[in-house]
Amino acid sequence: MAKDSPITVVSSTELRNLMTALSARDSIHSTQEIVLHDDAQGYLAHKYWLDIMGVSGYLRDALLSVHAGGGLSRAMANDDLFLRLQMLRKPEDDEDDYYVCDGPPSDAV
Amino acid sequence: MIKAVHNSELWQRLHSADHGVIIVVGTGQWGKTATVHSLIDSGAFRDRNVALVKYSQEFIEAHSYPDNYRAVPWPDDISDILGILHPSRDVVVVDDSIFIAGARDSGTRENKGLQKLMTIISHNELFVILTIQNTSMLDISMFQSQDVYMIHKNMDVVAIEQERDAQKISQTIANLYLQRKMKDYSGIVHPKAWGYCSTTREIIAFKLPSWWQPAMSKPFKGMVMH
Ligand SMILES: Nc1ncnc2c1ncn2[C@@H]1O[C@H](COP(=O)(O)OP(=O)(O)O)[C@@H](O)[C@H]1O
Ligand SMILES: [Mg+2]
Repeated sequence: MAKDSPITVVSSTELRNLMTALSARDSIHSTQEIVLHDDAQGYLAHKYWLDIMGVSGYLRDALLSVHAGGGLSRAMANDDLFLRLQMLRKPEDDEDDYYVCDGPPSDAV
Repeated sequence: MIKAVHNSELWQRLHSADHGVIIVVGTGQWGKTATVHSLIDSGAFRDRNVALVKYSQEFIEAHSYPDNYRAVPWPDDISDILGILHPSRDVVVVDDSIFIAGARDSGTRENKGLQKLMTIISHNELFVILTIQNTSMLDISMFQSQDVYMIHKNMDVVAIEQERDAQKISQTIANLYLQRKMKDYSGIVHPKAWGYCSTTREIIAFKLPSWWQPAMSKPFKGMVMH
């Protein structure tokens, strides 16, 4: 999975916990999309591509449901799901920032 | 982008504050104790001395802790703790705090000793670091202060289910961040190094201090707790 991927892989147990937690917290209004697919990134790429190409309505849904349907049975069988968590992130989170805690500042005595 | 922890909001806030509570929460063996020492080693608390509650002085001397580490007891009456600490010069570590500070009162979530300590902190220039496996063991009032910084280590799913609702959210989000980092940096950063500060929303890889020894994970081994 690419480093800049907006997709986080979680087990279905964790996903259930998160969904319970989120539904208990009504302050989050963004729509969330759960992608049930063994190739979630491919699914999203496909969806973005349809968006960019202006494909919408029935045709878009039909094209995507074919894609998502296969993923659902596979995900149930393997007990793993893909959750797109973008809506929970600050923009800078997607830059893959992190800090390293490794001793005192270099200019310290 | 990868930056030194000294640029993080967490470090800068700790570095400029004169008191605060840092809670490191996560499942056992996931690096809570190591994270505490790593954070102290980063200079976040300047040159404060480190008081390890209920550690034995022999244990500290038998291992390669820095010279400014010492053992302090947990007094029966917590108000007496000011007699053994120098608030503005110490950072107090209550490692595995629930065992140290005694069981909470039966039937409630309250732990009078820890609560009393919280009051002492805000009135004195004291830093306290607590490690704990699950925050449901702590009184809610301990999270409501502005001076609390929460650092999450990985927590297993069963433990998350025991958490209070607000913590379920932040811990689940923390787990997602941490597990993604573990995956993206497997073989590069030790999986137990990752921590997520939900107070400042920062992901930090806590490296073991140069003086770390594995035995430091088991400071209470063989001790009789009461
Ligand atoms: N950042 C790290 N890098 C490498 N190993 C680590 C790191 N953090 C923890 N460990 C390993 O995991 C063990 C358990 O860590 P510890 O901090 O004692 O966990 P906890 O306090 O949560 O029970 C340590 O003895 C060490 O071997
Ligand atoms: Mg420990």
